[in-house]
Amino acid sequence: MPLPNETMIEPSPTGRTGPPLAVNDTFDDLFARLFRERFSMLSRYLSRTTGDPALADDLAQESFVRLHARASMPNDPAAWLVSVAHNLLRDERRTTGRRRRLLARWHWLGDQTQRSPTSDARVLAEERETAVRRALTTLSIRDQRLLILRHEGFSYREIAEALDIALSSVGTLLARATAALSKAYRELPHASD
Amino acid sequence: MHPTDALWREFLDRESDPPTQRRLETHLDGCPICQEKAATVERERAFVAGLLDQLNGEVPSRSVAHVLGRPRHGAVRRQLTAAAVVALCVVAAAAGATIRTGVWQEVGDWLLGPRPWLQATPRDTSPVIMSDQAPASAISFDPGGEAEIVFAERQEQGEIDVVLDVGAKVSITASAPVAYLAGSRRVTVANRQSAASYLILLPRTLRRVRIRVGDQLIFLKQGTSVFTSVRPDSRGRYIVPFSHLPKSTP
Repeated sequence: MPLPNETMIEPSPTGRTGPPLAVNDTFDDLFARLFRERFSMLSRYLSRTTGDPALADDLAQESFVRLHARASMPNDPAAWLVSVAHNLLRDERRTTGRRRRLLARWHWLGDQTQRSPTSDARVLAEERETAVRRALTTLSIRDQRLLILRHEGFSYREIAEALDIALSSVGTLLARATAALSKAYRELPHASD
Repeated sequence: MHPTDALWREFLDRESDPPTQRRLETHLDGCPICQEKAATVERERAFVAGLLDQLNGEVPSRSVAHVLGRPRHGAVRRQLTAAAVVALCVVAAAAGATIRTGVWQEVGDWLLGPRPWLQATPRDTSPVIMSDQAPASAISFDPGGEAEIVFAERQEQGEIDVVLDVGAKVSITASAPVAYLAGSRRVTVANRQSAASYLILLPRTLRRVRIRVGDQLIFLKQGTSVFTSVRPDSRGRYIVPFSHLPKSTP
């Protein structure tokens, strides 16, 4: 039986700047604004880092839930969210096995999800992504995260805070990681620009 | 002496402090060696940006934050709750979501009699003004083929009632104001310190849905099969009291 077409909720306009905060802005005002400005950035960063858009969405949401539960803004909210997301990712990977055992107690009739047909363009995109991920794995986790955080628009200060590195070293580490990734990718067999 | 690649990277990223930025601009104007060096750094940066763009950065949820005021005491609480709910409705209405108002009394009516919210409602884009006496809040959305509902914490009180419905939307109705964070396939109920009960209506046509409390999976619908630790009652409701869930850390 065909399912109704998904109706997407359009995003609110996002941007790094918004209306100035009033002196009496509440935590909820700050939270809502931070959500509008940063949720997509965080979600994209996690999607590129993990290769799992659905997991990235979950982690990003969970990070914001934690911030909401905290009920007060940390000094650097964007960096705080990234740090929380990293911890959640680590915990997620640990608990995946526990969840599988939890579901194993229940009767499972099999996956009824329908897979969409692949196209040549999609196959090509997947191959390119695989190649980039192979090149990325030659870098340390820190350098992978450094590159992708910067790619998504996080500032040097936010990157330093999130990855617990000195602000003065971010530029140096970025320059080195950029050169390393570029070299690693070019050295892959059949890599193309 | 020429600036290092790292300094040029900071310069190109607009992350140098203003005096350094000006100094590097001046140097760049008069130094062909550094012009070539900066151009190389920029080419590498652009090349790597192109590589990183190959990584799937798809954001499946075009999300809006549905934020309600946290419970506070006395009159200030009522005012803040009302203001926050209005803000919620404005944000959600702008996003195209349908917000249903309701009171727990209506839930009781539903249990015993007609169910008004099963009637199809047109997409209402005008803000809904709620009375500060409204004790309940609700959210409904079109889930597509899959949905996940997550309650952030195990509550000491309250229950979750799940009903398979003939409608096309997922709806969650709480007996007390609570915050929701909504995505295209997942809604998180930020129920910290809440004692609310929740009515969840799920379309029968929904291919897959999971309902969790923290890390605990309490309800799973896969196709036409339902998996849960409770049996449905005579009206087909799956009722899960929070108190029946183990006190595991989410």
